[in-house]
Amino acid sequence: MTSKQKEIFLKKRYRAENRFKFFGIFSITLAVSFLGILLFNIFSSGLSAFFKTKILLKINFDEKKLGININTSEKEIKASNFNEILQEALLNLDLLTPELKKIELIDIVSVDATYELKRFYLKHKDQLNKMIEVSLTLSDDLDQLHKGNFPRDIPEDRRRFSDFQLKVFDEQNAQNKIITEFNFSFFTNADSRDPELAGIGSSLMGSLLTLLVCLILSFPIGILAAIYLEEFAPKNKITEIIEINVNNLAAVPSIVFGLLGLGIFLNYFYLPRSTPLVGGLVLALMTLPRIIIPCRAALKAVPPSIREGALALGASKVQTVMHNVVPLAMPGTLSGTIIGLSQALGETAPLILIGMVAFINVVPFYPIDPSAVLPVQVYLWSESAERGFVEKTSATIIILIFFLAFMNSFAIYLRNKFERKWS
Amino acid sequence: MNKPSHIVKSYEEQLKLLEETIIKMGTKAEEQLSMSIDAFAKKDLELARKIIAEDEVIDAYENSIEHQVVNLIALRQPMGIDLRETVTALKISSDLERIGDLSKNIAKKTMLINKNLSVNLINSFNLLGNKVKKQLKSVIDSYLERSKNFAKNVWESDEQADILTNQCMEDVIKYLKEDEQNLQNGAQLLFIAKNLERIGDHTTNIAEQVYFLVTGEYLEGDRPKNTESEML
Amino acid sequence: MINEKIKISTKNLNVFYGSKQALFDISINLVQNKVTALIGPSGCGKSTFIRCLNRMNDVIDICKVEGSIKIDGDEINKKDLDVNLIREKVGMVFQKPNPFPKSIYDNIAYGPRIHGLAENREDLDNIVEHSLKKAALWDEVKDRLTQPGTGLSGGQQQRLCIARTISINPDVILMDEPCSALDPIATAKIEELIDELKEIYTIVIVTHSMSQAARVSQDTGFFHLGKILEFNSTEKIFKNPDNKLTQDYITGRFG
Repeated sequence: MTSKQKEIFLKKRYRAENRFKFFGIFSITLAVSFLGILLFNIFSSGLSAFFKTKILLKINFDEKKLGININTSEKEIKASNFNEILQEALLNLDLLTPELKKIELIDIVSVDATYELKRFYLKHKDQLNKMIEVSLTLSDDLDQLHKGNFPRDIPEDRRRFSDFQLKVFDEQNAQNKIITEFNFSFFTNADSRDPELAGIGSSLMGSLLTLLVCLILSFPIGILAAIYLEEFAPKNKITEIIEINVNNLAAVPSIVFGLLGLGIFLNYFYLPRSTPLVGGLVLALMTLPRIIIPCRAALKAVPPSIREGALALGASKVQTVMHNVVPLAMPGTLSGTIIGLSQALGETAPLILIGMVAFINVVPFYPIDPSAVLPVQVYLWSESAERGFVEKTSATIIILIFFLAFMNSFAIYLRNKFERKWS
Repeated sequence: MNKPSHIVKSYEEQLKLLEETIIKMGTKAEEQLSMSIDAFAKKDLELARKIIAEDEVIDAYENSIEHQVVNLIALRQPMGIDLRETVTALKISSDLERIGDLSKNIAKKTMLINKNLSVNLINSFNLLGNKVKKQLKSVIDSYLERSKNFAKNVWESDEQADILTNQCMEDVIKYLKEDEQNLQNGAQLLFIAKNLERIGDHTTNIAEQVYFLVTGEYLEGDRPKNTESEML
Repeated sequence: MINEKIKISTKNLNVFYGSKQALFDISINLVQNKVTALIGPSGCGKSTFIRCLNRMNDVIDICKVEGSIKIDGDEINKKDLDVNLIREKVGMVFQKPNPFPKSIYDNIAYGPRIHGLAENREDLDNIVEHSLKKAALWDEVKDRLTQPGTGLSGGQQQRLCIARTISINPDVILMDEPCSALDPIATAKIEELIDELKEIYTIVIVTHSMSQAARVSQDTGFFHLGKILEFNSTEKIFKNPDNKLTQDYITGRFG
């Protein structure tokens, strides 16, 4: 080959290299931009759900109208009616309201406003017979309007609030009576038909309880199964079949596990429907192979010299495995487990089948309380008609993504920490 | 001895070079010895001077061998047969160097002899010289052919050289008794005889080395010796 | 020599991996308080042989060991004999340093713990210190016993493994190419250690380095294709071996 040919050959090689580099960068850019668009989309529509719009109303806690006095017990206060003073305050916003429009005026606050008043009074009993300004949640339609999620210039018959409500809202806004607060109730409230009241409290707790059940079941079972298969099981046809089936199980569509749960846990064992217990059981079934496989891989990656070293010292097989092999395989196993759990966290289909799609308006505390889970909540809200649920859906996705990112980072952290230590 | 060659070719070549240098050195020593005997017999001063001058060649060979041996030990760490080859090369070369020196010495003494000697005396020296020369040639052949029997023969036949040395000595003593004037020449003759005997001893040393080289064992037991020569 | 006591004696030892025979009729005697080196080309059965001496071949399902192996006159190649007891008596050091994923202290303490050799913490401390001192590692690690053993250098790790082996006070130490992963200085330290340890233990070392075998051992065995071709004093093997193949192997003329 002459030097000229060599030069041409070299150039060709470099061109090929550059081409490859370009395609690589192009693919990454494409992938990153898709992800960026997705995240932007979710965050731009979801962030507003973390805030809620409130109106400052002058309320007169008139003991005659409330039918209570300073000595009234808490129980009685809860049973008393705060609607009258609320309506009075609302009607005071526009004294010239025609009779027909009064109902519209009362509707500008959420249905929860009367309970908000009650909660406020329970904390401030000294306000009896006084006039005080209380912030009350606006109805979701005006909330959406205030956040700019709903255009105000479309005809009245095509929006969910009237011109009159709009006028009152604008007047109050001009007087700085409309305020925005961080939406704590989004995290603490259970689901509700009214978007301004709906929260992820129930599904967040549900998800946590479900994952807990799933972890408690699948982690020890998965690890023990993996250790036995990898270290102790004789290499024969039966273990081979088990091995193949474990791998197949990991590839089974999750909805099949849902059907299994429905058939066995609900219809045969009569476990309580739509509870984290059953959800966790189903997800544990699904997660098992996903823990067994990385755990076995981690065990396989432990150098045989470690086993030999322990055996040569006269350690028994169990001692060798438990004292020396398993600790080395732990980081891989833990990160595999966490990734398996984060997949379980995002699972929807099998949970729908076991009834976790039900409308749950209380926050669960035990694995046997009916509850929702985050991904199913997303599914539920995305189907709702109200404008207010759009931002809630996105906000729930943000929470879900945050959780997944947290769990995956934790997995990476564990892996790095232990690997640095022992190798 | 038929052995497969080394995996590392350059090692093989170095060992071969060492062997060749020994043989060249041996041949040169043989030549020097032969010339010194001739120079003595014919009283050839020219030849004697040449011998003295050419001793440097032998010294150069010795240096070269020493160098090669040190390199082999340092860089190749020879084992087994290679180790014996290397170590014996060093010892053989030092014996050969001594033989070269002794030949040079014979040439020097020859130059100091200022009278013609009797044929009888010269014959006696020729007999010894040729015997020693034959021994040297045999021992170098034994090295070349890696023959332990050859080597052992040389080792054993040194006794004859001792007998011839004694004969020589007796002749020289007779010569000394003939005339007081002979004292100076007689002394030189004694040295020459002794030198020839020493060369014979060095050939037996080499024979021992060759035997060790081939067998890995030492030639043991007393070498047959004529004790009388030791007394002188 | 007089006072030579035979520590390990094998007779007609045959080893099979499945249908493939790895060792053929190995009958040798290993002398107490001597270092025996086993040399030979890769795959000749040296490692298989020493793994018979502490029954490490039991781990391999398809491996079958036939014949007699006696340590102090007691047969160890018996099915009903507990291998853990043999391994307590016959320690092993491997090619690659393989410290456990534990601290330096726990690496040494592991053996005594599982065999119940220490009654209390003080005993254990003594064993650890004693073992590390014997392995000439104490001065280098005494201030960092709680740090992981894997943080040491390769040579230190190997000495840690030797200390670990010593910790359960075996009679015999088997070493399977203990220096093949180490630099010359670390190798020299291990060799010096072997020299000292032979006063107490009987040592069998497999090595690919001729010069190492020559330096550390008193007896040498040459394995070739599963047979032992020559077993002799190290001096004899490296100066003037009887077997022509041994000669060719040690001088680098093989094949």
